[in-house]
Amino acid sequence: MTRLRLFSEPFAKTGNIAGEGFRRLLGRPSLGLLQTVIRESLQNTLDATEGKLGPSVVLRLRSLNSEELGSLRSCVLPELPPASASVAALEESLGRNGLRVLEICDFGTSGLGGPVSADSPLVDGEAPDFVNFIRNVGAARDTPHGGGTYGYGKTSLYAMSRCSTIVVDSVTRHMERPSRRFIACHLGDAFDSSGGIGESKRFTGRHWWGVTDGVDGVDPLEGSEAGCLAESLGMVRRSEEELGTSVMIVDPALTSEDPQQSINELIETLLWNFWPRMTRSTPLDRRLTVRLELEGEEIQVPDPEEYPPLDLFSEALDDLRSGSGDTTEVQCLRPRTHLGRIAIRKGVCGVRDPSCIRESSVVPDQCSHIALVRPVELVVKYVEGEPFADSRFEWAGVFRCSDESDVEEAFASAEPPAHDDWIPDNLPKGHPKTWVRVALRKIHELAKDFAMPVGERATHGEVGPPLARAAAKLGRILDRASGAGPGRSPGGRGGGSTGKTGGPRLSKPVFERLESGGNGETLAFFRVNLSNAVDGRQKILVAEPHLVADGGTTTTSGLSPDYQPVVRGMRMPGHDVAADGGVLRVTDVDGEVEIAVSIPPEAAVGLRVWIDSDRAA
Amino acid sequence: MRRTTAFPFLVLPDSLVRTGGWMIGERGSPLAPVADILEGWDYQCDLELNVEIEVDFQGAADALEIPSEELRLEAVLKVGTGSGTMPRRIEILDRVVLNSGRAEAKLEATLDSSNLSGRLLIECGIVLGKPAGNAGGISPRWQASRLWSERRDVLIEDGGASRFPIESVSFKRSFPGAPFVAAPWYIDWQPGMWRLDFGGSVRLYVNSDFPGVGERVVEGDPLTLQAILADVMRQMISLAVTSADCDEMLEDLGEGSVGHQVRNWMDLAFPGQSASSIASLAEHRPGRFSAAILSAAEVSMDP
Amino acid sequence: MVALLSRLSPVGVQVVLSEASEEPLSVARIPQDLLNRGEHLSFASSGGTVNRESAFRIAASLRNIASQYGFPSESDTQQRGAFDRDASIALAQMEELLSGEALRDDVWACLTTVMAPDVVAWRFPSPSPERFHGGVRNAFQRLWVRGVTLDRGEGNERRWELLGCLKEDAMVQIFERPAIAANAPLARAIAEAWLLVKGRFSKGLRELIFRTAIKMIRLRNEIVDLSALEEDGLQCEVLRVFGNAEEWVEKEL
Repeated sequence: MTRLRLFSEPFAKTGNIAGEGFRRLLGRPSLGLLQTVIRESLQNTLDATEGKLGPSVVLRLRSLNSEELGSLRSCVLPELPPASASVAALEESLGRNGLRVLEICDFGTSGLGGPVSADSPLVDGEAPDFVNFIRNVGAARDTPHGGGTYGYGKTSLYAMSRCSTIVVDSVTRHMERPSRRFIACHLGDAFDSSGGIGESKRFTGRHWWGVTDGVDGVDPLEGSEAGCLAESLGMVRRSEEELGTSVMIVDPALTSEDPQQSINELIETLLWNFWPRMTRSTPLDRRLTVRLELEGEEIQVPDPEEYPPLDLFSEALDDLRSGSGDTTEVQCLRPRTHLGRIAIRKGVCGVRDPSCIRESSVVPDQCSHIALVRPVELVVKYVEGEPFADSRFEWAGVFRCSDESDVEEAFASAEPPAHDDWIPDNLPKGHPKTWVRVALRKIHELAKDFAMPVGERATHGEVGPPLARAAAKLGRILDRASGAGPGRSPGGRGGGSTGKTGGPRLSKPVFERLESGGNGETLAFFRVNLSNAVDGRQKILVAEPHLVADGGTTTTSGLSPDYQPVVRGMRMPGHDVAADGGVLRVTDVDGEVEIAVSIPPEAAVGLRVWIDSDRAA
Repeated sequence: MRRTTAFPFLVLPDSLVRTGGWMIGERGSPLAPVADILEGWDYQCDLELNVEIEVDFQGAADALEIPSEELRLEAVLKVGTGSGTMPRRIEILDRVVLNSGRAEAKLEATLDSSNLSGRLLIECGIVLGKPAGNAGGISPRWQASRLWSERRDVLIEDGGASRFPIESVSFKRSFPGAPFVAAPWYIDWQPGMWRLDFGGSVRLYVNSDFPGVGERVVEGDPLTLQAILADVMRQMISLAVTSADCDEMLEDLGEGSVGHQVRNWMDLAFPGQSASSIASLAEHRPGRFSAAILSAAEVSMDP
Repeated sequence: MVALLSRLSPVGVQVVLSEASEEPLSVARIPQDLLNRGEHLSFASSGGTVNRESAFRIAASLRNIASQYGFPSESDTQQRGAFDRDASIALAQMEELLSGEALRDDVWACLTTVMAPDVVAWRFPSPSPERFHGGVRNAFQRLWVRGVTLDRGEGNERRWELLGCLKEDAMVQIFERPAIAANAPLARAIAEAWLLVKGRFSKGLRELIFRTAIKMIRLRNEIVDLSALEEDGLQCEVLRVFGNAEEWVEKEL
């Protein structure tokens, strides 16, 4: 078995980007690391897809067995970089029992083609994929309507590895011949070290393991030896015809030690981000097929249609694709431009897949989101709106921007390197900036309003469609035309005047509490407030209880005396004012008046209290 | 709520009862919180209703002076309908027993809308489920003693007068042999009846045989509604302005009448123009006349 | 599909009545004159099918019943009572009235004022406006409410017995009290209880006992939700109240 040679990149006189700067390029993506890795890798896969069948991807999470680990240690990474931090990280990972790897393998793509050295000239029509992926940093990949750029995708791969190390095995075509390429890469910090001939040198922190290029670096191991080495690590077997790339992340930093948790996270990430390319109605040449393996066992990835709320998203996307469903146009009025369409579907909240029943799940329990996509149909992000007040229901929508190239370009350019947002401020002043801003505003408005209308109307077979809303709508237009149409009063009660003028006043009696009186009587205590009564004159307060029937007042006429409520006493707490019956004399006092009423056993009782000016006079 | 009435037994203070939900909507669709007006209701739109209620049971037992293990409460959902101070018809649609082991309930009902009218009075109440043996002297002692309640009043129909009456019918069945049997819609109205109530004398028939139109009207598609409205306006304005005495004819007509509506439409589409100048426009520049009406009939998406 | 019936606004009732005050309401002037200038007439804007014939059919049926008891000639109390009973039975079973439309005042206003004012004028020789306006006193609406409320149900051999057992005064006591009228099981329980016990009372006391009992029931219903009682419990409760009322009335006299 071939043993690879280490090459640590020294700074050139003209300067290179150091490893740490390289890592920093990723910036601060708004997604978790695993999400970023999956998104970036799969976007690259989709961009590199060739042929009539869509790409297929195999994601594998496994532990290396002792032979595989041995091969990794002695053949792939036989020599560790001369930088202490890198050595420590690699030794820790390689020393792990049952070292785990996460592999992302694509098929049906072009593989990492082109020359293997950055300084080799390009053959006509050839894409420098290998160089861009392995050697160059942040080089934009020029795919029309493409989703990804290489620089960022690959940094996330390193960041995912606890020892910042990946192993790459690719089958591609170069100079019209099949070519297999195998290389390992590590991304450490810049460091100083003796270059081997005694003199100290500064290194970028980028390291590759390959075969010596005979000059000053390493090239990938190629041909059958490459295949042998890949297989010795247990990587997926590939024939010369099975173009594509396998990337192995060594010692991935997963959020959970429980592999099942990691698998759940993978499933959720895959579906939540790539469902538009995985639905059953996705054209075959665009459809992404994903297989998931845990320790060699295949794990079923549900179809989006079976993974609520993606079922609703899928229906909405179908509406956009078929153009037949109920969709809303998003338009810019100045300049008048078609920006895209939104389709929204609603339904009963589907039972969530076990994979997204986790605390950290990004899948909402009650969906109220609009997925933003460009025609490439990769989810850029979700705009969250108002959910239905009725938590049994949810809605899901898709906005797809127009495929008119100016407009598509505007949205693409508004994306940050991680492609996880549309930021109008990323664009210079001009129409494109306006378009993105207008579209986002309208999307947010729709997301906020969708759940608001009450009871959507649907047609129920034999019964005619309920037309009340349309009738109401047209009716409102009649009202508008009439200008003085009947308005709907909010139903508020008119507040009575509470002016200070007009002498003493009493508040409405309020029932306070019930007590057992002596001799089997039941006493109800009411309270009123006397105000504006300090005027030097005596007042007579009269309290008169009455029976209550049908919510209103009634008399005891025709009833037995048992029904008669009687005032037992009135007093003003805190004042020396009291009476035994329903007549209380007060002079120059404001305050609460408590009234005790003996109430009949089988009726409700209300109380009327007034100031009797006749008697006072 | 401050109570003004005393009952001859202890009842539950508001602080011990919590209600939530109060959700209403068309059956099978997402429900929305109960509001003063339920938009879009008609006899064909069956409703679903729910209210959640939760009682601080120990607190209730203390307040009623009944040992909590003996206390049986019942939560009751009542719905009344029909106009008037009191609804014309009130029925209990759901009831759930509450006891120390179950102090909360979701009360639900499906309402057959063909039996509803004008408004819904929704009441969620708690009554005594069963008299207790060891109750206090002023504890409630009769089954179904009213202990607490909360109500919502919902208008479900605005009376029809301010609405534009619409009906979806099969033209083939309803108007067999008529020359307009293939038309997407037909506006039924009687010329010259300017005094008639608009809601009572103008009716829009949407052809259910005509694919797509019914759906668009139901969805409130602005362009469809605009075309229909403009059609009504054009028919009525054209006829009105060709009468020699148009201005007098449309005088002194009460709000809600066809004539009043037409007068308003004329002002909307042809602001500041006399009937004769509108008639002249209709005669000499019929295209502009129509377009002005179409323009005035723009249906706003805003409620 | 709900049959949408024509509705007459309260203003419409006033207009028709003020014009009719000059000459007696008669069948002859109904169709063209009143209907054709019906500027206050309307229909529900959606939710069913407009059936312009329905109202005429209902009116014709009422006129037909009236004619069995002397219409259009003058009538006596007995004939009117018989008309009330038969009309209640007929209205309670009319298909057009099995919907929320029958709960609307303006629908009844139209039936009385526009469709059959002649029958109203025959039933109430000098009718007050409230017989035409919708509401509990509307000439036909009150009969419909009695019919649907006191119906013992299809298949019952004595389906309409309760309609016959209550005198006009008792009907008013029940059906002009919204809290009782709206609660059909309670209204029916009262009628059933009355049917059981009224034989015990001398004719002179019946009305007094009934009125007293109704008042006691209304007071009781304020604090006890009688509608929440099971049928048997409700019946017992109403009978108990009748017993109390009887006891008190007899003691008082």
